[in-house]
Amino acid sequence: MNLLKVDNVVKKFGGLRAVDGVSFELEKGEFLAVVGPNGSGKTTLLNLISGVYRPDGGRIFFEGRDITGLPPYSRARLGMSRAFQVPRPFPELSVLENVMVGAIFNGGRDLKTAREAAEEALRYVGLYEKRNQPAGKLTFNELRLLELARALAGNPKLLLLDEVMAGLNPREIDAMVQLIKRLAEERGIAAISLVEHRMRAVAQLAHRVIVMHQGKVIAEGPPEKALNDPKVVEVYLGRPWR
Amino acid sequence: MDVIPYFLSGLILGSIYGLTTLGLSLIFGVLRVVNVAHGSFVMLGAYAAYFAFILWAWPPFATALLAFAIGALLGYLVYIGVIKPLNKAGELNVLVALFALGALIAEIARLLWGPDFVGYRWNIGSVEVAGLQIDISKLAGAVLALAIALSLDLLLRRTYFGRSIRAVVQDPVGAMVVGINVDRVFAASAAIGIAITTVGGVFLTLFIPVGINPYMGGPYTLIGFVIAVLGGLGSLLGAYTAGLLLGVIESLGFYAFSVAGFAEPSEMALFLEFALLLLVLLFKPTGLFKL
Amino acid sequence: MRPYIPLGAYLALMALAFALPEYSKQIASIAFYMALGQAVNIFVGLTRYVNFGYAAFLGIGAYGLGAAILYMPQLGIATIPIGLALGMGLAALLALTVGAIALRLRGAYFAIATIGLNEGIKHLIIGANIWGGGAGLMLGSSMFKVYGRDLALFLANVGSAALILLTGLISVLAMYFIQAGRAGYALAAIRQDEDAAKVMGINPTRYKLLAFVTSAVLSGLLGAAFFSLGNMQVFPENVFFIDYILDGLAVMFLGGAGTVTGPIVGGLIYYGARYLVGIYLPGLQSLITSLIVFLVMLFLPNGIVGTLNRRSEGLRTWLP
Ligand SMILES: Nc1ncnc2c1ncn2[C@@H]1O[C@H](COP(=O)(O)OP(=O)(O)OP(=O)(O)O)[C@@H](O)[C@H]1O
Ligand SMILES: [Mg+2]
Repeated sequence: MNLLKVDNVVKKFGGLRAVDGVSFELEKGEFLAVVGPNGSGKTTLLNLISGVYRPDGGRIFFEGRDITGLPPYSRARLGMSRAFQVPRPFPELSVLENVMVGAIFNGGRDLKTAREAAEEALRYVGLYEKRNQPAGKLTFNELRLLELARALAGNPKLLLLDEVMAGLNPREIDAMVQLIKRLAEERGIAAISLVEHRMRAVAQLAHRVIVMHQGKVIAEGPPEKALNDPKVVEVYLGRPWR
Repeated sequence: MDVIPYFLSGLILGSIYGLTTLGLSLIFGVLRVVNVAHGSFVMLGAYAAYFAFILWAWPPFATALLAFAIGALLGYLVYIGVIKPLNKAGELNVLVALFALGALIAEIARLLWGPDFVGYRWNIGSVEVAGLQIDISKLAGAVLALAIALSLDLLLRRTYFGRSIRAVVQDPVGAMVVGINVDRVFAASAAIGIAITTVGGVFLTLFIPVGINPYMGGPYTLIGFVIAVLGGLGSLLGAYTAGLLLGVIESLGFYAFSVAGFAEPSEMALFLEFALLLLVLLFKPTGLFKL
Repeated sequence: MRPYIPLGAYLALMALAFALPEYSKQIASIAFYMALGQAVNIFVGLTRYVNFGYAAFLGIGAYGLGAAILYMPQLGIATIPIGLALGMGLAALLALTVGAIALRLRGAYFAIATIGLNEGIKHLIIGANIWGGGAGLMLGSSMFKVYGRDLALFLANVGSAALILLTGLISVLAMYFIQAGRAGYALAAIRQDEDAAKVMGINPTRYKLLAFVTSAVLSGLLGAAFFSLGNMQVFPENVFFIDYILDGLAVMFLGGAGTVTGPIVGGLIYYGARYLVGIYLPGLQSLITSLIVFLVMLFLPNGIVGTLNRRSEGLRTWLP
């Protein structure tokens, strides 16, 4: 059985079809990159999967169960964790407390086990030393790692990552990609990562790539094939990617 | 049938209710702030009508102009002094400060004008409609309220100022980028909103010959919110229409509770309005009308 | 976070109420403001939603005990625990109903729903002539008959003060345990970013409802202790009185919203201020109250304890 099945979902904002009939499936442990220009509907798609928006059409299944009508917090408890495009820490809580929030409510755990899970997640992403700082004081790269740790601490089956590499330097990007791949290999966690179109290198490390344009999927497949699809090349002004 | 007079008088009072709520809805629509001091500005308008009539024999429709000016000034001050500085601190701080301001205004009114109920009667004859004697003053008030509601709506749809308000409502950041002075739009909306609320208070005195008192605002805050939510917070014509509806519901509710033998049918009518508010919030918090 | 100083403050006042029964009315007054602010704090401080219908819960709690005393005299002294339970139960029911409807919505709509709550319930009681309608409940003669004169007076003086203090004490404990547990993490997350909290598995309505109902139940207890037991009467115009909302907000914001010690400090200062105003500016209490709330919002929004807490870690531990 697939971990996730997205079936012909549609989301409209007024007259704009931000997501327009998208379908795909995701295996356990798979690392899927969703690529597309600005405004192509990537974040909206992620919001549909995590339950921030209800679709205007189509259905979404998680481990075979129809979750189309579930609120975000119920989906989180089924094993979906979400990292935001712009990091959204709880600024007045400490780094550790931020991650604990992720652990307590996703895993339904008591405070003591949640603390242990949070500490482990912080070690995993390399933020353990900063655990007692207020989250508001972290650098941008550290906030990204915090988002990831928060998502991880919930012991997810599926990570939803919204452009977590944007704004990082090449070394930081490399570390982040390695981290995500390690999660997939060591823990069997699947990931859907949104990738800005300039980050060709990142998309190439994924198991599979989906290319979106104006709310629709215009290409899908292994990275080399999908990224060099003629339709994709055409969307980017006829220029092959850097 | 004796329902018809209740229906008619409800409709006429409802027109005033609608007028009174326009300001509440405008302020919420533009600034996203619930003016919980609403009732106190209604009260100030009512006192303005009373004193202008008693001291200078002004008819209330003339006082409305004065009340508009006073309300606009107060609204501007409320924006500059309360809403603008507190908005960053969060919604809670704005709401509590406005609530305290409303109470403060009522207490100052009591200090100045005493706690007793006062009122006046402006008699310019009456006409018979469907077997009901209606004061011409009330009828004229209702028609004028409708005219004001329509002009305000037109102002928002047709003028440059109105369009900049609508731009700010839809996308504050975008509006700023295209060169609209958002701060000025906020200040103007607060000024106009509270000005209209005060004018509503003037008109209301036509219906409450002995009901002016520093604390009279309370029920009108409740009524204002019921109407604003019914009409869809932020929608002007929605608010006016919902005002008509609430006037009728209140009047027919009063009739029904009297027939059913309740000792205090007017209290029950007020409870009905509160229950209605909860029902709308439960089933259709975005309001009944799309206007 | 160590709640010993706030708990100690209530225990000390309680000892004082028994040691100096002739001052029990003053102690009850101080305690009333402290507990009022504390109960308001459990909801407003923890959620940053504002409940303008707060007095409705005081009132409904008072009616619960009042109705038990007046309509079930055959129960003897048991009318007190049963009446208190009834009052708290009614407050919980009302909070559950209103909260389930309005707490799903954003703060502005919630504020609107509660601003009519107080008036709405008052109009229902008067309009439908429930529990004595507009005339209210006079409990004095019934209390004298059921408990005997001496016990009734002791209950009205010392008993009421002690119960009010107990309400404040329970409020401190409730605030402490809510903040120290899962709910504390959930509410902190919701306050700072509700949407992010939601995708992290937190059901915001559930935790807001928890704080709302807790606050309402404690308010019900407070209303029963203060009006029914202390004043031996329940008038709709007295209990559903808008000024109590401002009193509670004044105490909480003076001390510091969301802090445990704040309402104690705020309650003491507020009582002192009202006392002085009563002597030097009689009749202006309500004006001064609204002025205090207004000025605190503009110039000291974190309150005294909240502002101090931001300065020092040690203070935060001992004066949470
Ligand atoms: N809440 C909203 N209301 C109205 N329109 C929206 C909303 N969210 C997104 N849109 C619009 O939907 C379209 C898709 O937006 P989305 O954020 O999903 O794109 P994206 O692929 O994530 O882009 P980016 O690379 O800029 O993050 C855009 O045109 C955007 O303006
Ligand atoms: Mg995006």
